[in-house]
Amino acid sequence: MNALYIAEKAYSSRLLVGTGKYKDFAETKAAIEASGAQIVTVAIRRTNIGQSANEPNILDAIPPSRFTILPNTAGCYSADDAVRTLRLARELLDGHDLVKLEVLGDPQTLYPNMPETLIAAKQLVKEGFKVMVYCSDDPILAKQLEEIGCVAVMPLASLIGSGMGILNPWNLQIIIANAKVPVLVDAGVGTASDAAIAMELGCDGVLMNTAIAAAKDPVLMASAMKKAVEAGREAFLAGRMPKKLYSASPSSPVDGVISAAKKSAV
Amino acid sequence: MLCLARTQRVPRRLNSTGIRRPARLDSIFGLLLLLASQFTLQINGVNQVFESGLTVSQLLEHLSLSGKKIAVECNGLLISRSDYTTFALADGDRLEIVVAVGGG
Repeated sequence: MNALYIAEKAYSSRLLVGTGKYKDFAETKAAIEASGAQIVTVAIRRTNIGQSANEPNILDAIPPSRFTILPNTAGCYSADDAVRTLRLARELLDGHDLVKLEVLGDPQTLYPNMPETLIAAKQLVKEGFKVMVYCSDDPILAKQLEEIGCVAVMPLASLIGSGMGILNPWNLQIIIANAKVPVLVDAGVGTASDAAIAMELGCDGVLMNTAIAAAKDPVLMASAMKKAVEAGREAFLAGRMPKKLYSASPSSPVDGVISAAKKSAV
Repeated sequence: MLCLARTQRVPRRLNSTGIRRPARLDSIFGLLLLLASQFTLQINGVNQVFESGLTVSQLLEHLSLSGKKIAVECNGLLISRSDYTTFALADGDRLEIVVAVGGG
């Protein structure tokens, strides 16, 4: 399968995963290993002053030497907070500049605030960040983010953490058809078939967290998601058969079927 | 030198009451009092009082955070790691000290 290129770097896995909501770092690590993901998101938060001396760090469980760490701006509701968070992230990660921008609109829906997202994207691109951006599935806004210079656009399939799946495949397809940068579904995937559908639509990748972390068996679900993304990608590349409405087509030869046994005379 | 490095980056703030300190001091006693006075830093939203002026690297050492995978912001502006030893903190500075955590 061909590689996914983001900001001119090749990745063999098209599944990107988050590291939130796991029981502990051991489970986080096991799930990420099972997912085969190479790009892994983290959040940036205040350190616990006074209690942090020997606290384990996510970057020890998921070392930047092995994974491409994608710091996000989850929890930011303004362009200013998002930009500040990613400046801190870049310093924290020794100048690593691939980031996930998300500016949220409200805590109930976690729907992206697109005006603020556009402002933040412009500023971050200006400062040399390589911005992968969480966005609404509006094709015009997705195109504007690409034109600003974002390296990937990541429309939601449905609300973050909802597991509702792909609610608007039509908009996703318009975004994919118009985009020159990778399009990844970010948020809303609930189970493996959702990930496969996203990939069959032609998405370049899928980013998920809760679908794996909130499964009864996160490690097994991570493995399922890996296969679903691969299967969906292969199906997309293979090109599905056209749908035939109201007309069947036999799979087996029509000729040469044995004749009905003659009824015996009574 | 420390002050110079600092003022280039962050404009000096008003003190916590929002009133500038008087420019002239009435007595030597007042000067001594000022020099010996404590100052307050807001660290991750919590005020902490320190006895004397200190740099970011001294603060991090005090908080047992030296060498940790952290990043520091002062009054909304990122402090580069290479400036930790020279960046002098001042009364009323608001600091954010962050780490990476699990998240999607």
